[in-house]
Amino acid sequence: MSSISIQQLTKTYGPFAAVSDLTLDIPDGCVFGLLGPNGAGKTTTFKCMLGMARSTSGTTLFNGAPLVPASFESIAYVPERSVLYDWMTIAEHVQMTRHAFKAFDVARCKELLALFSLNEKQRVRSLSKGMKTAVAVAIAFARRAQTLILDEPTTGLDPINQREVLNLIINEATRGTTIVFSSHQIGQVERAAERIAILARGRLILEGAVDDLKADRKIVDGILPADDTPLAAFSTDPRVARADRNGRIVRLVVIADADGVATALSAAGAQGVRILDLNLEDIFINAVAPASSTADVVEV
Amino acid sequence: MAYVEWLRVRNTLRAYAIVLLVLFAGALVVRVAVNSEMRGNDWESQANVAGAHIVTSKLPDGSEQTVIDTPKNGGTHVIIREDGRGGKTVSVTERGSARSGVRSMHGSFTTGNAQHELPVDLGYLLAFAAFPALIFATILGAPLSRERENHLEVVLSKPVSRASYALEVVLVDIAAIIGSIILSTIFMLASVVIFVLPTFYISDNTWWLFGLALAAPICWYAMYLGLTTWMKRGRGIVIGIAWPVAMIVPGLSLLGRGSTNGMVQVFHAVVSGLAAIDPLTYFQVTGASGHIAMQSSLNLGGLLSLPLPTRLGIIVVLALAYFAAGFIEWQQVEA
Repeated sequence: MSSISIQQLTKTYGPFAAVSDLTLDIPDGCVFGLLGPNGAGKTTTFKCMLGMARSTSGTTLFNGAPLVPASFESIAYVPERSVLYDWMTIAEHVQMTRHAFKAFDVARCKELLALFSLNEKQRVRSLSKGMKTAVAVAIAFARRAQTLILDEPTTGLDPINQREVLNLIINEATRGTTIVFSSHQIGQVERAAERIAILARGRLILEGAVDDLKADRKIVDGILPADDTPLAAFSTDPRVARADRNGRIVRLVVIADADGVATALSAAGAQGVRILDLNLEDIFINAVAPASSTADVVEV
Repeated sequence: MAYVEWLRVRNTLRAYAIVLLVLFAGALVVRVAVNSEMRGNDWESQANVAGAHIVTSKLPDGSEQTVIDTPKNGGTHVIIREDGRGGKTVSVTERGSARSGVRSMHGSFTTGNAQHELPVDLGYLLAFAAFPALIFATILGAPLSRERENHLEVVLSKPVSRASYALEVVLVDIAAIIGSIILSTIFMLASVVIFVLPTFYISDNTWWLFGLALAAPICWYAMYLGLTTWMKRGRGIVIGIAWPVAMIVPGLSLLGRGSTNGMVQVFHAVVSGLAAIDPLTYFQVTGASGHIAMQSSLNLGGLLSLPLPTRLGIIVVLALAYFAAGFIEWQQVEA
């Protein structure tokens, strides 16, 4: 059963659709990465999932049931920006959480605060952006929640603490916790996430298991004999997801039968044809970035 | 769930108590400074003079009269009348040399206020304590708007419904407002006692005043809640403007009554409408015949002349309406 099921979620602000018809199933115990450029609708999706913003249409189910206030006993959320109280100390935030959630593990929280070298007596207003993020992450992970929703949980953190957060995510996943997180650090997502979804302009562009996406997608590139060598044959080829051309250099994103496409490209006169693996960053950029050449661009 | 509000309230009450303590210390300094001018009970000490002749009697109006004659002390004749409710008048006739500090020599005079103890309706003490509580309510006002500004994700991810959370916050704040009334009462009582020993009595108005003292600051707080919950930012402007507007509007509502000028009628209608929903309209304190009074001695007419029970009823209804408005807005907010 899916831990989280989002069905046809739409959120509009006036004429602007922040999220359009989004359907996602996040399996129980999965680490799920939500990727997208700025303004893609990731944060709005989280807020709609958690009832903090009202969906224009669509539903979200947690373990098969709609969200109710009591659901938050088992759901922890770290927003993308600091929502801590500036005038309170870290210790007071810990107490606040202890009063609100039965399963909150104070000892674990103190451990995590120490991990991030945070002094509990400090007031939040004296903390840097990264330290505020660390406080929110420490409190969320000490909640012992079954579902963690982390909206850019490494924002402002130094590389060392970014790695700590990533380790926390991976360790928490071994306990069977469902984790949904967004990040602009695609390397981190690639390392931690089992599945990803890519949003752009509020729409789901791509979704699947990271390993499958990487296995299915290859780059085939080569050097054409002349600037005007035609590429029209590839525009209708269902195996090609996208083609970029810069002068004589051609780069094809292939979603099936990379060997066959490479042969076809060679037959078109291309020299030095290669088949390359894609990493998640390539997949992300190919999914959301505009094509790099205006000539003979094929986007499928 | 309302732990943050508890912290906020605790800090505010602590600061409030410190301010009251500082003010009380100031009052103590003043008391010490004017000590020599406040020897009001000296005349009663005439009874201790050797050879003093004391006669105590009950007068037809129920008051008690004590007459003290001290022939060995310049022939001073003192009449003390106590009305049984704390009121006391002392009349003195001196035939001998003047006493130190007494300006009228060789004649008769009444000491008046210097020895006139203050009989106060207990309800008035609480009602006056409610004025600083209005300021306290202002400080606590707009709690849900404060959450909206930057903390909605924290609040809305707690395992409690929006309505329950708002109710908890409001109850905490109301408890604090009542706490501030208690602190103010203690402060006012202590500050008065060091100058004059007042006598309190309970009248028909006492419980209405007591109710008004509690309800007015809570209604004031509710007004801020209703006015600001929909605001993500800028609540400070509302809080700042509300005081002068609320104080001026009841007075302005008296202008233009019965005018035939169209503009004046519109002005009067608008201002009267505002006055009708202004908690301060129903919480006016004026002086009447030298006594502290909640009802004006002037014939102001309209809302300002309503009897205490009616005012209390309106304030309670207004508070409920403002709370309802705030709660409805709170249900609609989005992070």
